Amino acid sequence: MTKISIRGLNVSFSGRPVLRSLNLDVAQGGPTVLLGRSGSGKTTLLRAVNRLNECLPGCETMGSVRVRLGGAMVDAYCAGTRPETLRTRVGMVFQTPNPLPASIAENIALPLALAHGLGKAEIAARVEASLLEAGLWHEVKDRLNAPAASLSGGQQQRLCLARALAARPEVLLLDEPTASLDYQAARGIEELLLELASRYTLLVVSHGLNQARRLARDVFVLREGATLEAVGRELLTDPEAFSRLMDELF
Amino acid sequence: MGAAIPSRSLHAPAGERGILALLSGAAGISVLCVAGILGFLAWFSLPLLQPGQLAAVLSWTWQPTSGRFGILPMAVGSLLLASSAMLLAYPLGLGLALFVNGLGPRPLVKHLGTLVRLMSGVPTVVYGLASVFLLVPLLRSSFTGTSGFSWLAAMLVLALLVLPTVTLVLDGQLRLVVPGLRLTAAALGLTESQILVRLALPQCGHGLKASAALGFGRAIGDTLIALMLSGNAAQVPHSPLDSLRALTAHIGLVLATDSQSQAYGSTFACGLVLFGVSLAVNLGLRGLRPIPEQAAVSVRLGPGLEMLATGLAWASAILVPAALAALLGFLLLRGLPTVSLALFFGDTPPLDALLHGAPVFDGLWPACLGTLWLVGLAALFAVPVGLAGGIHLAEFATGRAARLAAFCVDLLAGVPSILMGLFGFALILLLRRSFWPSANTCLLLSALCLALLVLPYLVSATRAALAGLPQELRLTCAALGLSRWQAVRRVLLPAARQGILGGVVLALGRAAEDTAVILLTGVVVGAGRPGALTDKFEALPFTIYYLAAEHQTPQELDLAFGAALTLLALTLALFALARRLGGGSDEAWRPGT
Repeated sequence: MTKISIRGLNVSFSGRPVLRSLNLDVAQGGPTVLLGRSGSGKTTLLRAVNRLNECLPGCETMGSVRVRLGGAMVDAYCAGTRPETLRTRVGMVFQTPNPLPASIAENIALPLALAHGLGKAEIAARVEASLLEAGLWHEVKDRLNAPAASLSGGQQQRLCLARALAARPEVLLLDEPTASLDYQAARGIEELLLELASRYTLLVVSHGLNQARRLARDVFVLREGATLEAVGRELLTDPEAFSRLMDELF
Repeated sequence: MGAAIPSRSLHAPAGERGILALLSGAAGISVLCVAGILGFLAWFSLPLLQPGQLAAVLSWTWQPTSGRFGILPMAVGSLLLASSAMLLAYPLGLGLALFVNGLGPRPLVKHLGTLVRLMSGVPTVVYGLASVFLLVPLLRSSFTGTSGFSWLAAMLVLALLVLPTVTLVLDGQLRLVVPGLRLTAAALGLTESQILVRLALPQCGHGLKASAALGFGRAIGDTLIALMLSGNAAQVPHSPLDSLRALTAHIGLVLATDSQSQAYGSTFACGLVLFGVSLAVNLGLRGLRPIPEQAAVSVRLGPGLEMLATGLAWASAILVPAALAALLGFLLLRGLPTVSLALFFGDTPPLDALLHGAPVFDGLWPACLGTLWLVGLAALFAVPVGLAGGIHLAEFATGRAARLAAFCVDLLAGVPSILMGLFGFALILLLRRSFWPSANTCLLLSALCLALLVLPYLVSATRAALAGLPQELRLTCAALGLSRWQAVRRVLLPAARQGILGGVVLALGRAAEDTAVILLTGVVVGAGRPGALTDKFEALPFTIYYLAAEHQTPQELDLAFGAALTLLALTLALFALARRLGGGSDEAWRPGT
């Protein structure tokens, strides 16, 4: 079943086109992995789904992005869709861990209180559940009021993941979620993502073919913001084709 | 082993050591200036320590004719005026800062930002003139039985005057914080107002306090608004419609009219009080921690906070431009029809005045010339010292001496400008009592005091421009074997050129529009074109101030509006040039006090 459907998407910043007439269907579950050279527009494509490009100056978006939310396809860009609501249903994890300048618990509680308007008891339950889900609970349960900045890089990234999960989104957008982590921490996150794919639709921008091979159910390669090519799984397992793709992309 | 390194590369050559000594000397001048001002104030306040004198000054009655010199009403007046102005300006400034940082629609934000910066380039005396003839009559007719010259009038305009300071400090802080939060918070589904109110503002504790302190310092140090609008009755006001007298205005009033009687002794006590306030503000600012504290989010406060912030932002974004448009529109309305050659040259043929120095009687030309001379001379004194001091502080100064010099520069920037005038006045008194009995206030003295006034701006701008250069540049120069002075002179100064030039231009604008300093140091009306450095002189801001209060005919009043428009055009042009040069950090421009 198609979860995200993108048609004729054009995004430009201050008149400079970044994405040109792109079409993409993302299936439910995943993970669906987006590959491409740096500067090919992967991040912009990801941010087009939760309308985050609008927070950057000079951005202009045209075309349609529809997301299946609660069983119905919702046009992300139609006038009736509040971006804030869309973003509570379509969560995001950034390339570098971006904890809010607050404690570990508040990082998760704050958006639940403000964007979801949840009560104290529900928030406390979700803080624990999401930290458990992100595999961080046992490491931080005794210092929930410590600054989030006191966590290690990998822990911070899992906190950001927990924060996104706490909103109970239907789609998770992940922008090179392991790029700033060391090997061990990166593998930890990858395993977590594979687990999560049964419950959420994951769209992941990745910087590595090897990671794509480990993670992906579907792979797309984005070239210069203009073409998206689906790559079959057999291509990833065929050593010769794999090295050709490797040469092209890196 | 390689060849021995020639010794000259290990030690700075003698010439370079001389230059470095000059630079540190220049930085030392700021310390000397602060010490000098404080020293003069204290020295001339000494007679007050005689038995009974202090109690006489710290009393509630000012009646110089019957020998009563109490300054307490003025101290209370200053405090009331500055606090009430801040009470109005602070929420408005906060609203504007929130508006431009996300609560307002983008196209409006850009224009509003420009407007606030433009506001900081409007000379104080111009606000004063427009208010005397627009706001004061309005108050007079709204509240019958009052003159309109009141605490309220001064408070409203003073709030407008300090508004850019408050707004720009807050805006600067929000700009540091908001971009880092916006994407994260937006991705979590937070609205723009939630981001600002719940996340950004709690992190701006430093900016919130600093803007309050700086704004208060500006408000209490202002002379002209209080002098022109508050009515100047030496009393404690009982209602906002009563007249009051501020300390700064008191100094100006007493010294401008009379320098012979005993009354002036108490003005130095006023000066000491004002100096103490700026010292307190400065020390307070130093005590603030610039690093945001942990757990700087506020979820618990009521849910109406976002609504309140949005309402405040829109209210400010409508009220402030409206007030500014009213005052400046009125000024244009009255000033534009007066603009002609006759405005500048009166009945004298312009070419005669320009080329042959023919005297001009009913025109602004002598005042324009006086202002040009003032600015030129002040720049001549202040620019070399300011640049050298800034270079020293940015590149060479270390340790306690550096901290002391930096502190003195900041303190000097916060000292009310009337104190620079008082300093000049005291200097003349001292000269008269010692070896130059005929010494008198004059163009040279005014220029020196103005130089003192703009010195901290020059030091700060130079320092900031150099400090803004990437550290790698210095490492690169060092790696290439350049000495530190070579690196500064050949690489760093050229790279920081624009910022420094911007600072110089801002300082020129500041010198051109100040009234309080020259008020005490030799400006008069009708002096004609300046002849010698020891002559009295005319200047545009003083002409405006004087004619606003003392005009005899409608033609003279027209002259005042023409002068105001000329001065406004001059300072705004300098201001625009400075911004174009990329100089002048947002806080650098603080017009007339």
